[in-house]
Amino acid sequence: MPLLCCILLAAIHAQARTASSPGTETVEPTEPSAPAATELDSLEVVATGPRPLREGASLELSRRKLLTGMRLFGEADALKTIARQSGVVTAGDYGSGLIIDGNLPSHVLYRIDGVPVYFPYRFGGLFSTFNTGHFSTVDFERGIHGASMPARLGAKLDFHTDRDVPAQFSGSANVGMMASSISLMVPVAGKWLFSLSGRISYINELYGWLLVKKGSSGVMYDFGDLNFTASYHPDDANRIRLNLFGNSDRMTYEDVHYAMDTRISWRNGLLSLDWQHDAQRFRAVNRLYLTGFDNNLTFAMPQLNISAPSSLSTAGVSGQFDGISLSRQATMEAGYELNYHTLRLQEVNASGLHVSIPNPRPRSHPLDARAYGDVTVRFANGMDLRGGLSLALYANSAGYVRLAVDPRVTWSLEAPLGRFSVHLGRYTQFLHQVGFSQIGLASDFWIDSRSSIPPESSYNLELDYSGYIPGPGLYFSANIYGRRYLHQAELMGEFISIIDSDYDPEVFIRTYNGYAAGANITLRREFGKLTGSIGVGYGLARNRPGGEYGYVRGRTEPGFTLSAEAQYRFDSHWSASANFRFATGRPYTPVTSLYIVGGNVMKNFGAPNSALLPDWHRLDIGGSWTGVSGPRSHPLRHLVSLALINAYGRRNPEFITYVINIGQGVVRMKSVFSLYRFFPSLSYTIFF
Amino acid sequence: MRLKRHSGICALALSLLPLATSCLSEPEAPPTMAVIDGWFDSDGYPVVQFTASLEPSQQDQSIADKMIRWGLVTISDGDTTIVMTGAYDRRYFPPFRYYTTGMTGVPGKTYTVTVKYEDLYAEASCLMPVPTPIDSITIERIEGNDTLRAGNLHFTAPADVPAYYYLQMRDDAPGSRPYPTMLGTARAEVAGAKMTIPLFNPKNQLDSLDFIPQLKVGQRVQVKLCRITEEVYEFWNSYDNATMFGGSQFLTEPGGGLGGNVSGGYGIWSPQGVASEYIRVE
Repeated sequence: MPLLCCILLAAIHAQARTASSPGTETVEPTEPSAPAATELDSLEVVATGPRPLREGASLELSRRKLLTGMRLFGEADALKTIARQSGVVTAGDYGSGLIIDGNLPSHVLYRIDGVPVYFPYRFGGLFSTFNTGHFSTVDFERGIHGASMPARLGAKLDFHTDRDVPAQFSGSANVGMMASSISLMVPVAGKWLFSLSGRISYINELYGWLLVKKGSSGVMYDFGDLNFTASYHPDDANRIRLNLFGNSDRMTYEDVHYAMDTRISWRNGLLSLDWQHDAQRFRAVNRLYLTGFDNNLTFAMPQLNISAPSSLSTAGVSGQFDGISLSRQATMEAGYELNYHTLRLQEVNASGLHVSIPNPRPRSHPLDARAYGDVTVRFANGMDLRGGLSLALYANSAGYVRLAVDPRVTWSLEAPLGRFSVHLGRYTQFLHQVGFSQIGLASDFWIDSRSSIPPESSYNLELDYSGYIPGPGLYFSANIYGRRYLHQAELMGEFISIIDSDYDPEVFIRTYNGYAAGANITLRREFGKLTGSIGVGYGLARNRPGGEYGYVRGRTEPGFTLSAEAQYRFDSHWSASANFRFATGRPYTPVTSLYIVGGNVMKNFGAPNSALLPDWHRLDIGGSWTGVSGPRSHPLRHLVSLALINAYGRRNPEFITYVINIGQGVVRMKSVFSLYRFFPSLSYTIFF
Repeated sequence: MRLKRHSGICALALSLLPLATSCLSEPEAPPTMAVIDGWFDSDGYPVVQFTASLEPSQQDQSIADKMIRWGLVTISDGDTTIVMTGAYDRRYFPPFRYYTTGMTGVPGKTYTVTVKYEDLYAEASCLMPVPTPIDSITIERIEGNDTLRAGNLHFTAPADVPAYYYLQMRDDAPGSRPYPTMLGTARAEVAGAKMTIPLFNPKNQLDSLDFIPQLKVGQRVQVKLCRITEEVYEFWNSYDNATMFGGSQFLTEPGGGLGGNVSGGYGIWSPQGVASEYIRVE
């Protein structure tokens, strides 16, 4: 059907162009008057056939879909789109990282063309470091993974650059209220494609007067990111691709009352080279890569400075072989990866204090090697059975060695009612991310597994259903999950401990076991003037910290989530959109009592995460106008997007604090609310 | 019809989920507890502030209401027990303290304090270590600033290491309350080692002015090098963390509490071997 539509469209277009192209020789009609040529202005093609069903809880986001969807803070962003799914929460408006079905944010794997990016977030809950214009598709694989899934326990987001060389140069430039970005795609000689994308912020320049007031506390934040991809297609069967990515973010919070600045800076960097070869019976991709993340948390007072930089870098090689045909019914997928990591764990610097900071700890250099294989057998009655095994060997420089044997099996049935899947799998993760913040700030650092901090693992059961309801054109998906976690890691120390002469973060990291379970249901409409989705989810996440506590609520418990979004396209120019989100309040550890010592109010805390902030909900509304100008051979498309974040001004609490009124001698608990109320978002994008 | 069937399945599944949840009861507020904030200098007299804990509330909680004015506070050195006298004192917050001049601090002795008022009762016992002399206090100019000075206190670690310290500072006015200085804790592990503790002002939430950690020109203070037990040191170290970073939005407090050595209540009882000097910042 799509092919017929294309042919029809091409025929209509050719007829229209022939009638109106300048310089065309006009032929005097010899027949009685033919109808006057009609110039085609626009044609809307609506596909009514369903796309192939995939595991319902997974998504594929195209560049076009992301760039024409609602923009918050002036940017189109895949992570913001994923964050609107049911069962997905963040640690408040300011938190970084996605909490998907109760996972820790560090369980989620982000990759650019198969290479991991370790911390792709910005401060303050803004868009991610991924420049949407640079990537043709984003694949979100939620809970059902094959043996190819690398050493992570959670979901996977794969950002893919363009696979083919387009016929002509194209790109886009976006000017938003916080940052501007540009993406260019330059094909050369039909065999080369150069893609370059960059983004730079100007928050301080535009809003510095609002964010930083003389004599008051304030925030300064600037960031930028850059992507470069060069791919060479010598023939139809081969492609060689080079990827470069980097971001730099710096945030400073000035607390005038306490004369202390908090500074967090972070960067990701990635360099990869891959070769894809399409053989007759399989596709092979082999790659070399370097990827890394470094950060620094600094507390600075006059004449006093404490900083704790950390970093993780990985040099690796990996390969995957897909679609290996074993028989008419069976295919195989296999692969390997070898990673050499270098970790720097909080190399503390302190000036203005007469403390002897220990000599920098030796950097750790763990190695992990993995091989995997998946076999899929297709049976005649629409049933698939995929079974696979991932074998990973891990070793660190202290002689700690672990073998991870992770079997995974997925049974699927394609029936008239839809596609059903049942998945059982074991997953292992060798790198932990911990920190002094519970909202996943960039100050968190990665630490490798060792005898006191074993690899994290999980045993997963996933039930998945996706279906299509032809009448109203609705996709329906549901997933139920249950996961048992072992050895999740958390940092429990006091920050002041880092200036001890014998500080070792490993001493303050404890591990615990836990579980997560829940269900999500989503209805989605992807065609027609009105598109959108509605999703409902409920999830638990519990863990056992030990000591006096049994099972307690985990800080990543999603609770109840409701997500509804809609976009209505009035015509080819105007559209309106809205999305509403509701989530159970975020867990936090409550203060159970206060007392006064040394002229200060001290706190006693209750059981971890035993309290919930008030429920979080928000309505964002927006609209956009699209126009076309320029030559027909290479038209320019203009997109103006407006949005209002938190349109009804819900005061969503971010955290609880205590204020002391000295004059009245009283103490009161106080909620600190998100700044995002009636927050406008405006951007202009030109596509060329 | 198909949609209705799907809706039915969804409703059933969602209705079963709450049954599958393990119940977490909402935490009960703990009872009100006695709070001891007390110190006893060698060659000095004991002082105790006896208050009650506050329950967190979105309503204003008066600190003065938690001030115990009619409590029974005793101090004992194992041989003699003295009932301490309560008195208003505006130089303290809350403005009430218990004191006695009937007992002078002797290093090497263990002192026990008890507090009692209605249902509130708490006690604490602690050894008073032998003081370590101050070698010197140096005050240096800060480049680019004419009104502030950087101070450091120098001492030599004693033979009986490990030894634990914290600094107190009080205004050079009669009877003023001493407060722990910011980043003023130190641990000596090598006998005879030259030790230095930076001299910052105490960080106090009750100050209405913006906090300036450095010493100001013209400031006249008494600086006390207090040698304490390990348990008391751990408390003041956690206290330092809470006052320096506890209000930060970028750090999550580790939970639990500050610890301390008070049995049946909260706070700290700090018998301390003290060496002190008066300085005028110039």
